[in-house]
Amino acid sequence: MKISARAERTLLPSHRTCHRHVWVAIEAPEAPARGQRPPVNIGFVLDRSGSMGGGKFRLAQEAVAQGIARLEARDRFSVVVFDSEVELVFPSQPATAEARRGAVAALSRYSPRGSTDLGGGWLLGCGQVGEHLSEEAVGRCLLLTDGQANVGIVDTPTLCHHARELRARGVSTSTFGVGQDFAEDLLGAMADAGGGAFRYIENAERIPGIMDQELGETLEVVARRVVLELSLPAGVTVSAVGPYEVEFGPGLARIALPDLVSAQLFELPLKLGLPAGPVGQGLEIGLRLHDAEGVLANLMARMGFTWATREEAGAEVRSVEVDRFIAQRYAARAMQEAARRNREGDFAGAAAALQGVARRVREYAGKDAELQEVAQKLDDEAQAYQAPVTEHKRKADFAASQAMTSSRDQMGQRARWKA
Amino acid sequence: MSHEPLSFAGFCERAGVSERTVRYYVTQGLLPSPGAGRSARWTEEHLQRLQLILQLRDKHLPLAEIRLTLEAMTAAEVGDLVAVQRVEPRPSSASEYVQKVLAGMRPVAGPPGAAPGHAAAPAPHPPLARSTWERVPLSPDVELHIRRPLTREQDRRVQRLLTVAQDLFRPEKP
Repeated sequence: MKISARAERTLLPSHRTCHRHVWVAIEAPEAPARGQRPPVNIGFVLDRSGSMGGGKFRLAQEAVAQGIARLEARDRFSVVVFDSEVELVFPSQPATAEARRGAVAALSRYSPRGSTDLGGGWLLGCGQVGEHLSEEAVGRCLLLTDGQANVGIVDTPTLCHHARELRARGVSTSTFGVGQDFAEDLLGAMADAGGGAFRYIENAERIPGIMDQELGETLEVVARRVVLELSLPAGVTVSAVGPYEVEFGPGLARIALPDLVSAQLFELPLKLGLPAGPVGQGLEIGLRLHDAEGVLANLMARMGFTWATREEAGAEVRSVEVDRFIAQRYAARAMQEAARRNREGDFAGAAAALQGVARRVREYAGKDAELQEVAQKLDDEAQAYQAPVTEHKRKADFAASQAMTSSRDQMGQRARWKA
Repeated sequence: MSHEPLSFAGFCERAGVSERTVRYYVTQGLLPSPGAGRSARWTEEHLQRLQLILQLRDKHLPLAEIRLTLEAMTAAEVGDLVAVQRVEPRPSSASEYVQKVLAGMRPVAGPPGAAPGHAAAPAPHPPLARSTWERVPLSPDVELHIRRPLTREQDRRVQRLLTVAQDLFRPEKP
């Protein structure tokens, strides 16, 4: 269990303000022995619109049955389905054997039909989680859909606003997009705002397996309501390169992070704005973690920067490891932007987003093969994205990039420092 | 306000907090133990501490930090801070938030912990019927909004409109 922070350079030019990027790595502790995990409160929300026919809804039912079979009586769960109407299939209850059987039986009576009130279904699911959310429980809503929101609340900013507000109230959201017809930017943005994961399920056969992975990770949460706090000297600003908002207080900044699971490696890129100052003197930035139970309370790190002459600062050797990490994250963000613009028909904008980052990476890549490869891949993708790409490519690229910006692997699973 | 010690149930009711949550705060060291069994005494000091915990929690301070804050405070300081914090209304819970949204009253946007803009008494009327809007993007900057359901004639006209509009905004070939 530790936190570390490394900047790509630590000398600052004394005569002007500058930016430095920082690689923050957090190693979450391992979960205690089985039986001691915090209780979970899960809301399953399933799309039952007509397009979920052809076996997809049956596999979603199977996924829910598998999921609730993993819960214990001290956990709670609820099941909601939605098409143009929203129905509470099974109100939030402790996951006793009787309740688990009852929920499976109740859900088996539903079949696909109608259109998609995604917002209404998801909100009802979150409401069920929130209604019985105890202070120590992990609250999560799992939303599965294969379509686009076309009834009720349909716009992304409003749904993301609600996801953010509900996360702040203890209910996070993970989203699962099935097939080729859902809006990946909506589900990705909801998961980012909701502090959960977005998973692209190309083949419906994988619905149970992927939902099971996400539920399994929820059962392994070791730190909830995690906040990274930075103590900032005068004149220093900070922003996150990724889907994390920074709140500022007097002399400090706070960044709310997702729940951390057992032995998770969570990596966060930050961009610092640093002031000018006298040669030979320096400034120090402190990092400290907070969480609901104080599991991470003693984790702290410090970063020091020193002002130097223009020549000394310019000659400092960059940390190639930090540069590679930062370049990958900017590349992932550009890929998400390109996917969104391509979907909207802005093909020139999609290509420009990728080429812009490729150009900036080359400015500091030098002869490093890995950085040159990042830039080359962006240029190659720019070629592809200047024309319409297939639904599958766009969704797969978006999901892989979104996974990277939220510190997950290409399969969407959280990275671990210990297997 | 009575200063007589309260029973556990009475204390929880007065605070508006579940018994489970209060027990959790005691086990986490946020609230001092009231004593064991029948000799347990839930006092005004407990109540003020609990109010401050809830207020700080609603500002999304981690419980560990709340505990550190409380450890360094006297009972009088806790009372003073509760009075100051009380000026700001408590934000709703997740389920209250959802109820308001589903009732068609979207709380005002704000940072986590900010008080929702519609925290007043429940609406005297039944929930508003939700509008069903269909959005049809025509270009990155232009979209058509259609409220359903439409009459058959309106629907036919909308289909004609969409055909023309989509043709107008079709991206030009390079």
